Amino acid sequence: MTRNNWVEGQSLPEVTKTLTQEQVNAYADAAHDWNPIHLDADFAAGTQFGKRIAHGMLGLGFVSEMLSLAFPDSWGRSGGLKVRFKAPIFPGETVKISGEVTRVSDSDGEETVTCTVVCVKPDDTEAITGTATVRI
Amino acid sequence: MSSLLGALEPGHHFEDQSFTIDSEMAVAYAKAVGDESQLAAEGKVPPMAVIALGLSQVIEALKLGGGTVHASQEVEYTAPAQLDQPIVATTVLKGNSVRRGSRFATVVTTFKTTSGDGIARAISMVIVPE
Repeated sequence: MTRNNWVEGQSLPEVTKTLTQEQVNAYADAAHDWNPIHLDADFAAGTQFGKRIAHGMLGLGFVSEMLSLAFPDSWGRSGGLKVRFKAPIFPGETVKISGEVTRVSDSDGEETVTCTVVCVKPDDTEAITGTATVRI
Repeated sequence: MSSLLGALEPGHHFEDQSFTIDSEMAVAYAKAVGDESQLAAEGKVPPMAVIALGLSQVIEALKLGGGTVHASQEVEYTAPAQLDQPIVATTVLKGNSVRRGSRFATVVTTFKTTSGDGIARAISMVIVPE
């Protein structure tokens, strides 16, 4: 155990979200991102996805929520995140966001926790994957 | 419409954008994301809200078309943003290339207070149909 109790292999608090089109619409207004691929069914039907998709940053908001829950005092102050958007999240899908501590280091009295993060779709494909680092 | 982006070279500096996140915006963002971390309820700015609003401004400035999708994102926070605090976003085009009929653009955005204190740095890659 370290002084903050994070250990390698430890899971972050899992977050589960069922995404609705209403949520996507609300996110568009909140984030000022009105790209029709997220909002316009007719437009989205003509894209590679064939239907509306959630904003990537909405999915990343789910990841950020998990990190805020795991590191409430540190995530927004000293966190770092690097992710790839590998597959779109469609309204109506339930996704699970999880993470696992892969490294805990202590230097000059400052602890750094490195984690994998992943957002998984109902068919087990990964929508978002990456790494987060938080200095505590 | 990616014509504006097509004319830009890596290293291009976009005009600085300034925005603030008030309590109403923070709560709206948290509700939209379904954020149960309670940061907005505690009068704090959800960290990703800063990045999301900054990226939206970049997309708007570039007049990117509706088929634009997000490919990757990096974020580094150095200090929490405060409610009603003016945030200055400075964006530089890092990469801009066309592959297999799509344009891949990478922008680096730094978020600072008006006094120059760092808040966050973000690197965003978007894919724009040509």
